[in-house]
Amino acid sequence: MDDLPSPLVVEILSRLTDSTDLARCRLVSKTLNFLSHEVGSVNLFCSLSRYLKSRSPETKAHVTPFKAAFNNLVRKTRSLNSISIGVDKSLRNISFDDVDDELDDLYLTDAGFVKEWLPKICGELRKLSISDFWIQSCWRKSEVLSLISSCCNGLMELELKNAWLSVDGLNPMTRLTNLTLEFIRLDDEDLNKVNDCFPSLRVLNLVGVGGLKDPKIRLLHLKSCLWTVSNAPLSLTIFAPNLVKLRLKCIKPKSLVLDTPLLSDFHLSVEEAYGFRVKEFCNLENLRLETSSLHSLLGIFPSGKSIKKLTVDTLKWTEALETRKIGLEALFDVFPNVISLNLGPGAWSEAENCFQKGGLEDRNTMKELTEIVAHLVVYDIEVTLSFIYSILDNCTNLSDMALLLHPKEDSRAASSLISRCTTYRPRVKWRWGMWKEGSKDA
Amino acid sequence: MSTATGKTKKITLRTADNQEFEVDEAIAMEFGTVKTFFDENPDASEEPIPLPNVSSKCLSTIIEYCKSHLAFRAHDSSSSVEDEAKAYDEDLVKAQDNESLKEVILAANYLNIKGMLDMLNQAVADRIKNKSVEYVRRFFGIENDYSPEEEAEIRAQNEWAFQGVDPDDD
Repeated sequence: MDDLPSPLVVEILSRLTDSTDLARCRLVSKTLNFLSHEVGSVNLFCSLSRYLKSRSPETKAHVTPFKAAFNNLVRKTRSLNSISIGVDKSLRNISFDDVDDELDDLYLTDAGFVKEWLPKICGELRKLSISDFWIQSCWRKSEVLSLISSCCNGLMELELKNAWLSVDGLNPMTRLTNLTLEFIRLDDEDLNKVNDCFPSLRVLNLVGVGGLKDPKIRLLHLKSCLWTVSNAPLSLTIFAPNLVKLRLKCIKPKSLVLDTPLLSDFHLSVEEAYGFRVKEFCNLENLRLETSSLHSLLGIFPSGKSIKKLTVDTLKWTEALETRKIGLEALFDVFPNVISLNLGPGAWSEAENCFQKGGLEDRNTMKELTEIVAHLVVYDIEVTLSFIYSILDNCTNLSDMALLLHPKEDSRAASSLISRCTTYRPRVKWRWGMWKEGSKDA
Repeated sequence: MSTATGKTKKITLRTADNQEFEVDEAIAMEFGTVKTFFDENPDASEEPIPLPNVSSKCLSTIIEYCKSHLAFRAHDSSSSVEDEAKAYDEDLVKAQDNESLKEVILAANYLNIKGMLDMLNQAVADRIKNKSVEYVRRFFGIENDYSPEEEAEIRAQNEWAFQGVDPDDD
């Protein structure tokens, strides 16, 4: 049997996601050793077991330091285009008390460590990802951004996690199109340096980035953005004329300014939005809203005539809030052209509540609706049923209805609900399922 | 394309062991080499196309794969169809021993069927993941050409990769 040709072998070796396997292949034969150095990507993660062995007195003499292992891997590769180094997610559970935190053997965003290998191999590097060990990195400010920006001219994707980053000496990186910062303490209060030095970004992910005060994103080429803000900065501004997709999760910013005319897919999760300033969304088609006060958010939301697919839910709906409740008609006043509607349990309860008090006003706009997905919370099956019937009567073009029940619901009541609905409007395509907090719908 | 009577055009392929397979044009066009051949020779005669590097056993596996995946793609893309396709691929790979897996890879490479080749290459990578050096040698059919001293030196340089969890011996 002939051996596989070299290009195929390299292709296979490139698919070994853990470079530890790749290193072992070097012992197989001289040819495989040679070919292993053709593999353009290095992925090395410190597992929990390796970490524990390096700390335990019996085994630590036999464990090569992680940084040395990485250096060995990187040294002989001919043209590296992707590097991924980090600590396993399992190490996140280690508490500060268990650790002697003077060590820096897993401090990976240490500019001194990165300087040992990056300048030599950065010529063809297109992708770099460093997931640091929070216990060793959170109290050490790293200058690694300055280093990366000065030598990696061709870098296109950069991902940094669990670190404290300084932006001093950050040089422009005009080829960078993807930037991900996750659990980072960033010394760039208003994101000025980020905007200035990464002008070509297409994708920006800021997850749990702290140290921001009045952050403004000003990126002309940005197409997709994910921003989750855990603390409450004073204001959030996004100026991105080409932005198409935005996922924004924040708590109570004093002001929220969005200048994103091409936005078509928007997922907004906000407890309360006071000063929400938005130029009209002419291109918005998909909107997903999660908020604690739907009423006030709808009040300041600009006209949503373009939205075809709408998902709405209320956060913390189990708490009784004094805020006014939103009925289904009010939703259609703001979003008259919705074709597909998805109501989370909080939104459903609010709407059902309003219906109970005053029925469902007929709206011409509901006739456009063809599909509904609803997460039901059943207090009184008769009320729920009459609400559903009322919706069916008003939404004459409805062809698809999916009702999801919580597993806690009485199963007899559930089957009675199912059979009565299907009898009432058999020409609708009914789908049934379950929903539960924190997990995906079934 | 289809003739006036709506009958799908068939293409004949002849394998290395002289067996002939008649397949729908759509399936044959999944083979990059066949497609290129027809693009460059639109008036090609109805002669069977010779595939001297492919055995009949391989070709029938490949034809089944292409037929199934064409059918999967014809469905609306939904997660359940994706799961079905994945399960089909897993079963196909499981049914191959190391030798036949290599044969199919060589055939898919020769016929230039990118999707299948990617899937098979990934399957091989998954098979040698976390395995001993001996296992990898046996799988690729490679002889150890290191002298004992050379081997010891390479081993010392990469010692870190052998620490920690011991790879399974298979």
